[in-house]
Amino acid sequence: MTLLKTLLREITGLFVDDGVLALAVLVVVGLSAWALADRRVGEGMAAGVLVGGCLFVLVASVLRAAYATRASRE
Amino acid sequence: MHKDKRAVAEPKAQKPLLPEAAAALPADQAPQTAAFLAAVGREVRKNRAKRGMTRRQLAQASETSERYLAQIESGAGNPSVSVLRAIAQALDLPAAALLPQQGTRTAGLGAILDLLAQVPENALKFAVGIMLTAFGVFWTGEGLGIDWPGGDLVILAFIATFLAVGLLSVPAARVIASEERHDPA
Repeated sequence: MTLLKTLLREITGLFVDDGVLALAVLVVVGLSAWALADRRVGEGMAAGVLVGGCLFVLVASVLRAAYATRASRE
Repeated sequence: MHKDKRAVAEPKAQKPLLPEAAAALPADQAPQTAAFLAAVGREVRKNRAKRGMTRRQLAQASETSERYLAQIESGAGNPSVSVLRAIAQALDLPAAALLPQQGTRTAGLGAILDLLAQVPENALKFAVGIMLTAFGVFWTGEGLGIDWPGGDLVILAFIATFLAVGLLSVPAARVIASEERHDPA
């Protein structure tokens, strides 16, 4: 069982390095898909949510890593 | 890092292998030896560049002189096994990693790989990350049914945007990571 868990963890680790980042990107994609479904908003707005959301997640992830580095030094 | 000062003790005056030392070898071996040392030098230079180390930093870390290291990198030096080991340790590599791989690459491929290897590892990761993000956003949008303005060319705009945001974020992150936390108390 332990071997299986390790195996799964290693395989997941190949694709997901930062779980929070991966989750945040999935939320952004989900939000865009939800916005586009049934034409809740226009295509342009959904595209903006996707691109803007990814940019926001990128910056947030970098800053989070920076604060984590600072915290680990202290 | 483990330092073995005795192991890296080298004579102060390092004689370049060529032409004197190579001339002492049998005539049919001198060119191969010179080529081998040049390849070792390339491996050292390539791995140093890959880690973003200056020659001085590597010389200090491996306890060799900067001048001798320059000789090794140019293929003019004939480092002892202990010096090669010290350099490899300073680069966090096994000593064997600094020995050229014989007969596994063509000259052209080797030149391209050597060129690529001189790009610092983090720069390569950054570039790959930008490409993955840009293409990922584009194809996710396509999958959701978004009709991107400009068609495929919008990928270039994504690359430029993510590159700009990434380049601006990195210095900010460095400042945050390096600054001290100020507690109000």
